[in-house]
Amino acid sequence: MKDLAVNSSRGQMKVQQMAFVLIAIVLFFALAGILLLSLQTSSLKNTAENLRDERALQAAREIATTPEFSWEIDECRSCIDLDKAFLLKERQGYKDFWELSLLRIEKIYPEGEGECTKTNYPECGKITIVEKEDIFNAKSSFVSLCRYESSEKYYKCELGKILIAGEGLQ
Amino acid sequence: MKKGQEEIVGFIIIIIIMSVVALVFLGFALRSSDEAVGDSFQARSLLESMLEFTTDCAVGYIPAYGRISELIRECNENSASKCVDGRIICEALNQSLKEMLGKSIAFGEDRPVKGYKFEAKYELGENSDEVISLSSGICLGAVSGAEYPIPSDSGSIITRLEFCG
Repeated sequence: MKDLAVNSSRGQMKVQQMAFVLIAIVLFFALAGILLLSLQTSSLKNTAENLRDERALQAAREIATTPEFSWEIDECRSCIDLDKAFLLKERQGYKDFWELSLLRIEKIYPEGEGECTKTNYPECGKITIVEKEDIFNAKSSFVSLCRYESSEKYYKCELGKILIAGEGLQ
Repeated sequence: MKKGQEEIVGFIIIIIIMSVVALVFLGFALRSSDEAVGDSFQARSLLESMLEFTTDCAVGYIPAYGRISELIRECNENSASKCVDGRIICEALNQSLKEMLGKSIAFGEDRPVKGYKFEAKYELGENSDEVISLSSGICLGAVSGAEYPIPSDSGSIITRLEFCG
């Protein structure tokens, strides 16, 4: 009887030990699972932010394809008619047309300096069409800046950027 | 060794084995997301805009100044062909691309973009011939990139721009 009691309590000890081992294993896998989930969630957040940024960049690019900026001489989606953009700069009616706080075209290569005016165009650095006070989170996209080079009578394209910011991006 | 000690050693061995297995799975999961080079909108817009750039290399006569895409095609068809001013087209192309990429990409050791790689390859079927290739900065692995095809002869020239991180 005594042996039976001793064996039984030994058996209970073994079962308890097994239970603790199982709990430890479950806890271990749960911690590993939480770690993996947090890694995947942070990469999802990154992906969502990247997608939002890309959408804003595409909006910047799409403005370049509107009739106000599009280059009609040949089929070029990334081309902006710089002459048209310069004329738009003077038109007050277009200041609120796109619901943007910033709309600027900048020359990257070859570099130019200063804001374009009637006296220095096209040897200048940027054309600001819209610039309001509250500008935040501006996005930019590369574009080709094309115009007619009257001195040598040919169409010339340079590398530039279009910068936009504002509610029109949402 | 006492029984209790034996059991603890056994428990520790089980934990170590499970940790190793979990690390191996984690390694596979993270590696597969690194291998793919994401298509970057910025890289694509820069590549498309670059190809439209009008260089100072006139092909045949003035003022037939060639665009980058046209010079790549000329360079592929005849690597010895020259601009009207006597420069070899492939060299003029190389110089224009280097200057343009240097001005348009802010890269460096302490920046998110450590370097870039640009290449153009003529592909016809399974054959592939390099037309031009240039790189700058540290390029251990591409972070993002874009491709753009230029039709040429019976095949096409695939231009590729990669930003390295």
